[in-house]
Amino acid sequence: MAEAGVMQRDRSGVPRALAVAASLLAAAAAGMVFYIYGAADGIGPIDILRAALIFLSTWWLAWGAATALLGLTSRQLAPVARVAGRPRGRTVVIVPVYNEDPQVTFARIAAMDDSLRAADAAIPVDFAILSDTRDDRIAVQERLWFARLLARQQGEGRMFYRRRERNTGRKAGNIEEFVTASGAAWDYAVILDADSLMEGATIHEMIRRIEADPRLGLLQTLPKVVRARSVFGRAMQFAAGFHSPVFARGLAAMQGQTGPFWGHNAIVRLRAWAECCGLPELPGKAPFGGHILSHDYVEAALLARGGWTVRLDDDLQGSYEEGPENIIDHAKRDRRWCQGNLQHSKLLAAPGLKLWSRFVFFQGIFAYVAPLIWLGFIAASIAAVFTATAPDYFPQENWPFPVFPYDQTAKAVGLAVGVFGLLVMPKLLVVLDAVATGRARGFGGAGAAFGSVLWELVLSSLIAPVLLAFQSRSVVQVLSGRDGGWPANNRGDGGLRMAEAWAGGRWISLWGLAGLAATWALAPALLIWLMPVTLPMVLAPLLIWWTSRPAGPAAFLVPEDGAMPPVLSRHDAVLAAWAHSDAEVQVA
Amino acid sequence: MTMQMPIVAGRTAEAGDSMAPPLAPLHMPKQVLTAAPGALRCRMAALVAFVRPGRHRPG
Repeated sequence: MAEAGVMQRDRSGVPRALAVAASLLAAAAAGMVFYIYGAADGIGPIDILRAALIFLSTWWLAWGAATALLGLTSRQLAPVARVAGRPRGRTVVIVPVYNEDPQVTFARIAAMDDSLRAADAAIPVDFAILSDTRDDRIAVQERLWFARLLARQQGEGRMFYRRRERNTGRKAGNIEEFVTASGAAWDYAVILDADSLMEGATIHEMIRRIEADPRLGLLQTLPKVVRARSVFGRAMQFAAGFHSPVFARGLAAMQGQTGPFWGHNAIVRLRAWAECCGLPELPGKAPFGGHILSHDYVEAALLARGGWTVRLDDDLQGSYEEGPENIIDHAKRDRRWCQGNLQHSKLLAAPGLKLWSRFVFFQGIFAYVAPLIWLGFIAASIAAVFTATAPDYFPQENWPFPVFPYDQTAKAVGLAVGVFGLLVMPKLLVVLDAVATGRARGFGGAGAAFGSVLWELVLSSLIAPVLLAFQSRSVVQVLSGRDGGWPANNRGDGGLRMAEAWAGGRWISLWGLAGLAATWALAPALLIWLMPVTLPMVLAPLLIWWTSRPAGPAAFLVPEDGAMPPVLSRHDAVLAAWAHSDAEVQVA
Repeated sequence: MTMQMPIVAGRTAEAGDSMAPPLAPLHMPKQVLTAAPGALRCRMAALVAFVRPGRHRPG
């Protein structure tokens, strides 16, 4: 029986309308100001183009700001429905692996199993490791460490392992094969990544919530990034822990029945999944055709199309993941996301999708097109120098006195300040909110939290042009038909040698130098304006190397630094025990 | 096709071993994600018919 707080009604209409209206208004204002600015010396096609590009860029920034403001102003909803007592449904935790380190991955499973039994041993939760590992040497190690795991956890009959002969359809295909072969044995599945960790109590709470709502098809948690060590990693970890909860609350306010799915740290109703999430191959060749890379957004859209609710419960804690430790690894992962999101352009007109699902696809596509819009604006601004007409001081016949052009500097500066404000204002409001609510204590206190926010702002401003370069290259590669595939994730400390950073970033330096030279030759007046973009590009290898270095434990403090989550401690303990154990598992 | 490679500590894996996930099939049909040929034209035609004043609309 469900506890009080029954099914939540869909209250997403007003927040969605507010966010859309506010972002369009801000974009229109910016476009209009720029249009007036451009009209000072006469309107030409370049001015119209620049105004349009400013409109689009500002809309994207304003959309993010509106989401943050919604998150700051959304009140706590009524308690969600959850079953009391022992859930009746059977649950399996699915862990797809692909050329991972088996010792580390299986230690995570042992830690989560221990955590589940400590939380409530009466609630049975099984585990299924689904291997798509292509490397036979790693596969041998997987079998050895699976035996280790079974022995430690007494897991016979509730822990399973299978390795696919061919990784058709990659991760989505891996899960689909499991569901079609074995899915009827369970009611719910918690889908994890190889680097995911979840507290047992959190998994139990997810089971209680999905069982209480018969129309809930998928429940997504907001994972926190943990174990980051490098400057880049800890900055991302801080941003994920400090800012993301606010943005997630804003997202949750707008989600209605069509919330997000991020591919892991979520629980699904297997019957709903089987009904709705069989993904076809898209017509045509990769990168736009073939298997769907970013399958999670599509699965969420299909569940919503099937009448199931997809919901993000941002209040659930105890959900963790690890992130890339350097810009190169981040760019590799982002290349896959770029291709996956641009591939969604083939799904915008898919039959039967909810309008909000189509808008989510559009957002994902726009996120990767936005850097090109900014580049287009910069290029158009340089070109505008050549198309600008000289001022006519005597525009009227028979009028002997000169008419001087109206100074538009204030508009240009105001626009720049406004755009910068859209970037910075939400983060400053988040820190003020964190101080007011006491959340900043977990981040070292008000002073430390404010310092981390400022330092993160400076760092992200420095590396933004480098990330912009990688994203732009990814988009150009995808649009020119290059398939990036799904390379294995690089886990580990992530420190780069200078030679590696140079190899990964020297092309950005060249483009930065070319940009500086072109601006100097064609439009020297714009040189100082473009320095914040071109200078970091020139220094890209140095920035890539430096941000991969260890940050030190006091940089970008997060709550998990002061109080390590129990499941992480369990993971460390299992790893330590396995590293020192002399026992060997024989496979005859 | 799935290559079942279940293992049990201390002995050779055998077909049907309990370490492989249980056999419990669930039907998972492929979803339709692309519009049928002509569907887009039909939708556009319906939209045009709706917005254009014609014989079927009053006034």
